Amino acid sequence: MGKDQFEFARIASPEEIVDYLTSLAVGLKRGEVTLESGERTLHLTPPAELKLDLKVVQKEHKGKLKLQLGWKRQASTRLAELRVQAPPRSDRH
Amino acid sequence: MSATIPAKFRGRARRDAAAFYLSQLAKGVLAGEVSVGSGEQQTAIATSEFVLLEIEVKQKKRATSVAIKLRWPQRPLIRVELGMASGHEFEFEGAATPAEAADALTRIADGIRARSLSLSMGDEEITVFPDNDLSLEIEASEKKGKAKIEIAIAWKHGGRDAEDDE
Repeated sequence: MGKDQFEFARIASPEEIVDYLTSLAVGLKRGEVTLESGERTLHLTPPAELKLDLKVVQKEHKGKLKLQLGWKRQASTRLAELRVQAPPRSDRH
Repeated sequence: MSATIPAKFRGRARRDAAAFYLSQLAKGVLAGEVSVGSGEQQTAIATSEFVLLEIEVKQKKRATSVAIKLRWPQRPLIRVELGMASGHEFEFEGAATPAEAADALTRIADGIRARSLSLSMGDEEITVFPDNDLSLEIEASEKKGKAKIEIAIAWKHGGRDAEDDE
């Protein structure tokens, strides 16, 4: 497991899961998802186009929902962040 | 309950009737769910955040025509429902914007809160009732420019005799 990996598993009440999903949704809308567990933090910036995989299985006594979001990282620096500056014109002799 | 438009329609209509269908369509597109009726049958279709919109107005000697066309990729429709229908497996794979993915997560969260979650796409449909203690797994990774977030939620019904495979 490297620095760029995050894993989390627990038994949770429906309300706790609602909280997790909601905060993840907020992060996605904001374009920044930070996952934290213990000392491990993973910071992700999803681009405008994601791949979404959703699978729901219902068996007799149990069920499972799996949602996967994937993307390829694009150039993380935007041109808008580039600052081009010329020195102020000073009076020259 | 949701805005319904006919799957196919051609005929004379009063302009208020025409405006009604157009407003129903607009409402559905805005709400993320358009209901299409064909005879007795109704199908709900999920709209997407971005749609391809074409408007074409033609003025000819005898008549004027306005053609409106909307096109968007297939999306799963996630709804919170109280029905008891139950399928077995449902899968969706496709592209989504972060806002659409967030919307899907929010609807799934609503379904978990209500202990009932319904998903459909076309005539494929599944309703599940996640309840009791749920197991949650979140996995995320970023490697060589590829990133993914995986969320798995699992539940058991009935407790004692729920031992099966896996």
